[in-house]
Amino acid sequence: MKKVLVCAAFTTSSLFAHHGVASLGVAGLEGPGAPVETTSSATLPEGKYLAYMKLDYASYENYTPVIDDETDKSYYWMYGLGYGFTPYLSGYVFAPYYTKRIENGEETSGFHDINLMGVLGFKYDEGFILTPSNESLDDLEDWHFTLFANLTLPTGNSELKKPDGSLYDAGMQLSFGEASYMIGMSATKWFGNEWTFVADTSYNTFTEHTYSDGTRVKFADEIRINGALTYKLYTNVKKRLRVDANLEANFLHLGRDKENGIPQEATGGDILYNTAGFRVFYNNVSAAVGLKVPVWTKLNEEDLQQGSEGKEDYRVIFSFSTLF
Amino acid sequence: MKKTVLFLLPFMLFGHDIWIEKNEQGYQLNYGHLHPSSEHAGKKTIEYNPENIKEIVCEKEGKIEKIENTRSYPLVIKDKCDALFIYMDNGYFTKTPYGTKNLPKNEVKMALKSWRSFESVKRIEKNSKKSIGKGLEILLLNDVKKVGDKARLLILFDGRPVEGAVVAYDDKPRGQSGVDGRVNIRVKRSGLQNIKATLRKKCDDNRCDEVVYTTTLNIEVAE
Repeated sequence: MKKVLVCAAFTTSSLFAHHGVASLGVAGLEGPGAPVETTSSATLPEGKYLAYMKLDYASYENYTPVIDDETDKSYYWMYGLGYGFTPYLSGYVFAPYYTKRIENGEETSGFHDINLMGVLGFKYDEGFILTPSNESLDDLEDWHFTLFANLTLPTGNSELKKPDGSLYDAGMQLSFGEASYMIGMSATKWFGNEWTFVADTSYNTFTEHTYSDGTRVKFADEIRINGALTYKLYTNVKKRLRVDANLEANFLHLGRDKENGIPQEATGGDILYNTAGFRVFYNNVSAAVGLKVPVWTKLNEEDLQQGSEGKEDYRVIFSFSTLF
Repeated sequence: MKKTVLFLLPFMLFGHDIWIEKNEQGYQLNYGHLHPSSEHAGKKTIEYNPENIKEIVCEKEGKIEKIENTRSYPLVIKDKCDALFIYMDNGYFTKTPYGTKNLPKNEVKMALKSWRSFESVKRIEKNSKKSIGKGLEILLLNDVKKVGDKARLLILFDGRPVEGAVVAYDDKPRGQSGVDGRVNIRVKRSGLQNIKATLRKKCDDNRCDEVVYTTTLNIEVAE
């Protein structure tokens, strides 16, 4: 197997793509907004379903002018279905579909590992309480929070081979090969006017996997911290239309991947992105688009990490969701 | 709320306020605009028909007394009450191309829309947290001491929690009662509070399209 470092990071980027789903905003012209990347603290209404789709397109900076095996671009599609079990407990299942392309035209493409996610909502209203089923606009001005946990199951293919019969880099595979786990929390404050503040943080860890050629790979842990401000730009009550603008700061810490127990060079580091975008609510649907760019990086071996997170020219994010 | 906020605006029929003012004589029932705004900069009080007052209930030290309607304008209650509830039947209204008539729709030509209106108002001096009214009623479940506190409300219809009543503060819809009849409203100004709930039901005869119940809660809040 080729060394892990080149593409390892993009196996996990944007995995938890429920970010920005506005179960409340979908239905209401008033109330808090929802950013594009940062996870809002809205839970799904009891007994309601949410259908979700997201595309995260990444175009990577090239280090050399020649056509070689530099990472070129990737398309992270995410299809999801959510359900509100109670006003404070939502469950999601996500099916990612990834296409990862390198400069010489080679690519891997297909469904990645299925994700299962649970979201517990609560708020502060003279004490912490679980998110109630009925809230007035004044209740929505309270601080709202969620705790969420995610499990991926190795349903994708982690044994994809090149035409010469050798395994693709672990980062090019369409599965982690083992389960992975994530926990996180979010906080949302609507100020009762056009402005909403949203923040979240999450910790993601992976299980070591042994590939068919005997190589053992453990992807590094990841920590995310996101903060966002949304501003309600326009509403049209008759048309049930609302447009929000979003500005976000997205911090990502990546540890070092390990191969056969040895920390790998040219993996890991810290990245700060800015995401600017818009979200449109129309009836019971919501669509968002955002441009995400790395504005500050401190990668462990910056010159060797072409194709990793932090080395994108830009990312374009689009999401669509509907409640029913 | 989640799904309901979007649909609040069509319910805005909070054109006028009804409130109970405390003065040296006792309590006076007023109709008009409690807090005149740029939209309602006109006359503060509007004359009402005292014949429309169907029930006056005074709660005093846990006992409920019914008070006779003097049928004079303005209605003045000289008793001291811990809570005072006044219930009015304003009759039928029908919107026509020539204006709104105070008649049922089967008695006018070219009826566009019609409704029957019941209004009530409750002023609380000392909160027993018990129902004393009829029709639509707002129960205040906590003690609101200052601006910024939440008024935790239970909306009742004939003494039972009712879902779907639109609740407004200073005529701006802020929420809707849930299945348990509960809704919370934050107090944003000092003085006499104007918390209003509206519930619509389908009319069961040919005299109107719907019955509109509106009730107001008055409490005094310090700075």
